[in-house]
Amino acid sequence: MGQKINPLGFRLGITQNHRSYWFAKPKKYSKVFEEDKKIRDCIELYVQKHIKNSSNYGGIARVEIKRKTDLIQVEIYTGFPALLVESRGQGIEQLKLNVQNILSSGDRRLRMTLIEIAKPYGEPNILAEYIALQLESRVAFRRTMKKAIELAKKGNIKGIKIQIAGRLNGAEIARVEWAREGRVPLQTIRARINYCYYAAQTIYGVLGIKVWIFQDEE
Amino acid sequence: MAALPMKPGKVGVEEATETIHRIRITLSSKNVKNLEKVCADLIRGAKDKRLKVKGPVRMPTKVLRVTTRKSPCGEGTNTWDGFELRVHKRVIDLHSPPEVVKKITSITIEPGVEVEVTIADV
Repeated sequence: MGQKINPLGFRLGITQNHRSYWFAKPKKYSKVFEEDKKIRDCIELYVQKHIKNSSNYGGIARVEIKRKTDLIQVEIYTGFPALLVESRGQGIEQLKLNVQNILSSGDRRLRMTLIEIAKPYGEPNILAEYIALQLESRVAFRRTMKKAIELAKKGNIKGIKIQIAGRLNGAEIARVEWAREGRVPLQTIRARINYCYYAAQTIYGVLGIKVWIFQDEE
Repeated sequence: MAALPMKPGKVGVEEATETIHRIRITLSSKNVKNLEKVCADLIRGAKDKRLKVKGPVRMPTKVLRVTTRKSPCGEGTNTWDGFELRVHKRVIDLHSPPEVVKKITSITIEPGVEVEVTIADV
């Protein structure tokens, strides 16, 4: 039996855009790449420290980074922008400052924008975070999966599949359970499928959550 | 006034500081469509300013290949992943003062296209 390729990577030329879009000559490529990673880590850290607590999740679907010659454009796609914009008028100033401190040379301008997603539970990242939160509060996993599918169906999606692996309900023997609604054609390249993997940390160990959402064809 | 040494039509208070330089613009990118778009924009911008333009010279595409085993261990049939990064390069030559060039290049920049400007002596 074969194993499945990551549906995001599979569709990169078609129906899926790169999340980091820039060009660098081979000599500087690794430095720019490292910087990208630092930016994403910084954003993730900020979200973790300030927003995540037992009843809230970060709600960031993806971070897109585009570089022009002297401008770095960071677009944060979020389902709940109100969580990231803390106080009136300040907006994401704090986050922007943090990221600016990380970037080494200051001769490049940084432009950070928050983009709101219309139906947040149509994005697998946000859905996976929701599931993780439920599992960490020891809700039964089958109920969580069903609830997550309900939430996702409110947006217009054509199919969704959720897979949870690990010590489900604290059992001693780990297993894999999945639930599917609609159709998720992983072999069809022109199908727009969004995918996310998220790890939920429970007291029994790590539960791996994989979410595939089939949005539309082409 | 026969003693006027000046050329007609040039008020010689400031010498024309715009010496024509030979400027080479090198555009590189992974993405052909964006690259061609920036090329066309640059050439159009230069033609509007009546500069002498040597059209986009397309350098051969460099393909950077990384071939790795798919397997994390050594077991199984030897399947290989062949990742590639294709670098497309275009060269545009202009004869123009450098300030005008700065203006043109600052207008047309797309993400993912690297623009390098070298001046003269080539």
